[in-house]
Amino acid sequence: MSIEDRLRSGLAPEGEPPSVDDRVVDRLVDRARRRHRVRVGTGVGAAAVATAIALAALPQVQWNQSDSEPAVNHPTTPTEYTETWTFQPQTAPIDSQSWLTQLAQERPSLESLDGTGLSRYGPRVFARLRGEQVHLNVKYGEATLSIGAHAVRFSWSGTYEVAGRQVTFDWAELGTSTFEWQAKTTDLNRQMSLTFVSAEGPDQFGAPVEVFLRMAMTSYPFTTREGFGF
Amino acid sequence: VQATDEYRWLFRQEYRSVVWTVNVVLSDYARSEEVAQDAFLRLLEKWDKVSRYDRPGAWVRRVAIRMAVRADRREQVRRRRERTATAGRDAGADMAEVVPRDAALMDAIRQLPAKQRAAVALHYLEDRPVQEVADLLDCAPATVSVHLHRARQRLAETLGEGVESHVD
Repeated sequence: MSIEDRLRSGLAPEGEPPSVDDRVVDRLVDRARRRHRVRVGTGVGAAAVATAIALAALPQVQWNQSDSEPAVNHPTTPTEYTETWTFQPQTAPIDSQSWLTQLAQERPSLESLDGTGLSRYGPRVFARLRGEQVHLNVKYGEATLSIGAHAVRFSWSGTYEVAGRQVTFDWAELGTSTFEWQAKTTDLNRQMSLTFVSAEGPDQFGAPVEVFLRMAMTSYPFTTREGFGF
Repeated sequence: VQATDEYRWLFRQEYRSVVWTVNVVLSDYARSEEVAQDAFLRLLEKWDKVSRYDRPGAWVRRVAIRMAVRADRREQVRRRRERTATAGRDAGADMAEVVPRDAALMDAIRQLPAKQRAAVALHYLEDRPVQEVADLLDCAPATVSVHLHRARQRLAETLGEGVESHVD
């Protein structure tokens, strides 16, 4: 039997599947109500905190601006909030840094696809990277990847986790990607090199996302730039 | 928050099939039920909007697949961190009650990347055409064909079978 046939016949569960318990829906309703209450509570709480901070800062702002035009102060409330928020301090050498590559040139970019079977996509994706720099900000679990030399042409945001020698990014529109990292400190700056491990995500620039990630993230080492940041 | 009759009907129609599809991705039936329920929870919260879509079932399936792929990624990261603690764990230990017809095939599928597993589940288990799988996975049909091609090749190597494709 071929794999094709086995896949068509062998993936289904053996026998009759268990019946669906309607009480699961009732539990889902309870969860949804609890989540709703948490959201409302968190939103009200965040608004109250923001208002308190704004009111506390009001006299200071007026004093600082006493030599100029009278200031109009509007206490602000956040326009959005998250259901949960956790702070996870990071300790890996690549954390809390703004990393930057040199300007992308064709040969190293295309060579990053050697041996992958994806080289045919290289020229198409490199057309978007030609002469640009790759900026990677990683801080407090939040990551931003930007492409541009003088101005940002493309940008993605997401989260990251460092586990040993690997860093896994979970991008909002690039999917999930994992790299091995190497970092070292020189007299001038810090350097970081990434090696592609895996990626799963929607196509980018008409090619599998792996093509873009390999070309953008692994063609050149990253260096730190003090005070840099998009 | 209320579960309407239409929502309950959709739940009864789709739940088991979503769980089993997710199970092909996660190889953990209990975890697959959690993921499926999280997806149906999202559906419940957005029911006013999603119920007006042509196919609310496709919406919840898409959400479940995305959650499963992300859960698989987080699980891999966690296992890398806790390699010692998880050494020897049987990924299929939670599947005692519901077993696949071809257990060897499922074992081999566990070795595939999550997106390939998702494509295999949607195409072969749910018998969806490549275009529909691409819609559910938010990628191009060509990408789905590549996922399926690579999955078949890898499975053939693992299981020592021939590859016959009628897909691409």
